Amino acid sequence: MMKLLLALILLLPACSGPYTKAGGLYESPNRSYSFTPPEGWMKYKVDGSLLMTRDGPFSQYLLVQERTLDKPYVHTGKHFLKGMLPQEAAQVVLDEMRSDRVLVGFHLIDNAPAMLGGLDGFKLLFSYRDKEGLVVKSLYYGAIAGDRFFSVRFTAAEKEYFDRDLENFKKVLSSFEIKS
Amino acid sequence: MTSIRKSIFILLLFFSSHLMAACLHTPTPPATDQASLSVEEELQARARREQRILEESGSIIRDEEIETYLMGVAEKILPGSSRERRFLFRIIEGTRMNAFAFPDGVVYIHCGMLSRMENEAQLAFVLAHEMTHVTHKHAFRAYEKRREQAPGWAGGFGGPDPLPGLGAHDTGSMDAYARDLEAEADRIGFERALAAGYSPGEVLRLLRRMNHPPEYEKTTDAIVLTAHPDMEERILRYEAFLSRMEAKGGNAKNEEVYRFHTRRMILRTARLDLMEGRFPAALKGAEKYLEICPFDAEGYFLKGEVYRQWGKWEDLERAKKAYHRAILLNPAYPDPQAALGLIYFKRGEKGLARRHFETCLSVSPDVPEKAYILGYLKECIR
Repeated sequence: MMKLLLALILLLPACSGPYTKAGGLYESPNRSYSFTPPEGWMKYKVDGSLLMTRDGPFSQYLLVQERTLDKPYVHTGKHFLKGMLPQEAAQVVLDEMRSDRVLVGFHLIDNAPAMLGGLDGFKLLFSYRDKEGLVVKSLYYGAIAGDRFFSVRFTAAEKEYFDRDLENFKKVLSSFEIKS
Repeated sequence: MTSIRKSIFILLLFFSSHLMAACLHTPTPPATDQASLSVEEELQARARREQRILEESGSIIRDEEIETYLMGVAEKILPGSSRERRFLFRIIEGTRMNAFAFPDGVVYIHCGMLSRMENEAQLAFVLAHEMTHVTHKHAFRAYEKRREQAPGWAGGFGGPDPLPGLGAHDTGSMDAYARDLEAEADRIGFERALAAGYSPGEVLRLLRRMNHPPEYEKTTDAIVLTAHPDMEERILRYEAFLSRMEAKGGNAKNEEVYRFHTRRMILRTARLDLMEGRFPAALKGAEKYLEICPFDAEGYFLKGEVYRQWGKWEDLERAKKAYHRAILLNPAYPDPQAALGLIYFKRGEKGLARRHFETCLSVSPDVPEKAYILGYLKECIR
């Protein structure tokens, strides 16, 4: 999924059409969630996900996703189940990440309970190396609401962008509301 | 595809047994003159670079016991090889049934392959095949063949995409040459393993299993699917070898020795199967490990994890039983305590949940799930 997203985004600057400026309140098409994107960032919608970046997805991106619990993942055969605790949902996400061979040197820094959109969820902080050997850091919040799973993820080059843009991510997180 | 992944992919393709082999009728390695030596040196330098990428990927398992064991089997296949330090064996973390060799004698084998093979005879045929790629300079010969076919092609040392097109999807003639090399590795490897006294029928058992793996073990791994597209052809080839040479082989299978030395790879592969959501394969792996190490708490914990994560309500009792067994074997093991706490917590049996969570924190105050456990305990007390 991420590879498809990134591939699409790489192709986009040439036509620059699907990128739109982020700003104001964003509400998902099915009105299941809303949040306030960072000012001055660009956003791009694809397949139920919303990706936002300021300097390009290889520098930093914010990814908001909504998926049904039974939607299969790419790298692990596991999926979410109704009634899963946040810790168990976090395990599914972690297994998906760890099964992805593109993520070289995957290192889990933190795995803890956290709120997302007013719901009990989890947060994961992890790092890995990208294609150039650059260390990339990711902060991932997730929560199950009924038969859907919501996640908000911030990924950035650790040295240059992670700390710099972390505040933007926190603002998105604090404005995130799950409505259904 | 990242460059690291791309590099790994290219080297897997290039150095995998599909590509490194020679003609059935050219068993003698090519003479080494000065010019070829420099090409060989460059190939070896490139091999070292690729190996460094692999080593830095974090996917190499260093396990002295299994490496020494592999070296011992290699010594049986090619006496003197360990004294000459001609080969080095490395394990890659992964569930694939795959192995490949570099021209400098470093042979990589996936822990999934070690886990799923049944005995030393099967291992010997795999190692003998890979070692033949090295001893018969298949990488060098494939390189030379490529240059011969495309005189303008200067090779890829240091270029952005070294050795392009040597993969399985290149020209028909390169494919044919790669198949020839493959056939040579099969034949000479088979002869060497037979001469070492291994039971010849085991190679067919292994190939048939690789060709038709149990449904629960299947992966969607493109590399495995493309590495040996001619598996049926290989099976026929080995059947022909067997009909001619069966009498030359011995009876050695060394099943018990093999299972003992590979036990940790079995456990690792079962964990990977669980991570990748192949629950039946993970369960089989855990049970296989427990047959070898019946008093190992980690094996029981893994078995419990498979049952619990599978998500079937009826399996939770089996999970509990496995966790209790793990605790019985190692009372200071925090993980099964936490897992039992989770089961009881979800069932609303908060007294039992609390007892297990508290025990978990008392035996290991800094477990990675501590933040979750403290939250559960708050609710249990409420």
